[in-house]
Amino acid sequence: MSQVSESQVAREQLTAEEAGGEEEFVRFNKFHIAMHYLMAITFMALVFTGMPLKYRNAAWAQVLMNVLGGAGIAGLIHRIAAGITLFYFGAEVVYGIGYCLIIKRMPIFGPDSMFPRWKDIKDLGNHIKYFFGRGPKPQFDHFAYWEKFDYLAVFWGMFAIGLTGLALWFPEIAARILPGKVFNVATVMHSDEAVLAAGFIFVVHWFNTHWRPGRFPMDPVIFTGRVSKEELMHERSLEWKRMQENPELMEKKRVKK
Amino acid sequence: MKRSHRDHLTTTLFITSLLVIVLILLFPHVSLAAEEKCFTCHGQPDFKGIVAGKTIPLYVDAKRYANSVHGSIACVDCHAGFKTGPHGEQAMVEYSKVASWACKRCHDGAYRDYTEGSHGKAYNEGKPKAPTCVSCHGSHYVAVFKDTRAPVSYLRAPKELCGKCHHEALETYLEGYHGKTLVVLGYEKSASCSKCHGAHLTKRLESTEEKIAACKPCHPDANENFVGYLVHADENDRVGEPLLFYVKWIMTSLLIGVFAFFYSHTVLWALRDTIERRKKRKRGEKQ
Repeated sequence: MSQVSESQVAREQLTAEEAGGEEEFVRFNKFHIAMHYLMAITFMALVFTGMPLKYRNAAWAQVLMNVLGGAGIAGLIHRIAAGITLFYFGAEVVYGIGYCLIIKRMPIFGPDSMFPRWKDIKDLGNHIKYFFGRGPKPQFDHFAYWEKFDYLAVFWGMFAIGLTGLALWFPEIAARILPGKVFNVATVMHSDEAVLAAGFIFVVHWFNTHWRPGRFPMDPVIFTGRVSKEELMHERSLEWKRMQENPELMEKKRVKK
Repeated sequence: MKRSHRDHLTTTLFITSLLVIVLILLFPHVSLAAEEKCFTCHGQPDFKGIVAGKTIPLYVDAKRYANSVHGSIACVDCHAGFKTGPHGEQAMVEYSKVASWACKRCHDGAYRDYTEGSHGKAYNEGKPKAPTCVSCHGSHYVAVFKDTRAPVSYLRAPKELCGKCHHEALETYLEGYHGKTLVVLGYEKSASCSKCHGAHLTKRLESTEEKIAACKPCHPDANENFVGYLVHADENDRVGEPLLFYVKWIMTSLLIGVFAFFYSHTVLWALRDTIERRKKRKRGEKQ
């Protein structure tokens, strides 16, 4: 089998040379790219307009508020960004359930799914062993466990931040069915969850995906949707293996030049 | 007929406005001239006197007074019964009561509201710390809530006036959205203390009906549930507010847990990657 794959690699290298450039494969489609753009922009808008309210006594908070044009305008920007967030969240749910699961019939625990599976937990354990030099680096498929966590954390965040945010945005409507203390609880949850999200995205996500050695200052894959063959072979070795075993998949994912 | 009526009206209006203008122009000077007698003593910055056994400053800045809202009112209009020369001890003790009767002569409505409110009731019950008009508005350099430089201004009152007595209420207010946006970030549409509790007719807002009435000006659809929101919530009060306390506790634990795990995950990963890269480079050099 390895012979087959080697010859395949050789053949592909040849075609790449013929094409006059490095081979590239599709990792994200236009929908994914658009979603990430929307999310990145609105997330930062939400953080920049929300944090000065939470840390209002800090000098930077008051400077930032003045730059934004005061608490009223910051609140307006926050609500516009929140509205867009609700929109892309809805689009993502429709895409995930409607397109991936129902139309495309992609298996929910399949290798291309964002859904966690047993392998992800094993990968985490082995990865930590690798950190301490006690084992080889685990091999990852299309989505690694930390990427799934990044993705699914948004869902948890949407409930913790989205629902509390809506309650605080429309308190009179929320109070038709909910008791008033919900607003106190919502205030605590919304602001703490926001710190969690910002502290996670700006440190863990940025380090893991954009700032890792060899990638700094950012990994362009989420903006171009394309990943090089070399990266695929090294970082997504299981996916690469699947593609080698399935030439149809290989052709489907190859970026035509 | 119609025309002559109009002419008559115009003439009257003209004369009246002229009189008003002349009065406005003359009045401060006239009154200031009358005040000069008081200011011979009270105009000296180090002028002090003994009132009820305490030495207190009795200096009034004449210029500042003249420029204040009440600048055209004579001293004795409020300090009734005072004569020139050193005043008798008896008359001086009465100074604290000036507010309660002098102000109402012009500000009858505000005074009536005040006596019906909790501040006025407390004062009339003889509570020593109960505020009178001057406690908030100042005495000689009277200010109104629109004056952004004065402690009684809408934006400043919570910290500079109300909070001076209501410490805990100020603290919890500043933790809520109203206090954060109004006091700290200067967002004037947010609610100051007086917006809910009233300024002259101060209320504790204990009943649901009172609370709904207080919320409605800004939240027109406020209902019984709505006013269950704790404007003065204390998330550190485990006994009084267990729900809030434990939600805060759970959120804090979640934050610490997630950050502790993923931050060390990231740091360890970066360290291992660096070590592996160095190893590879060394191997490359040997080969």
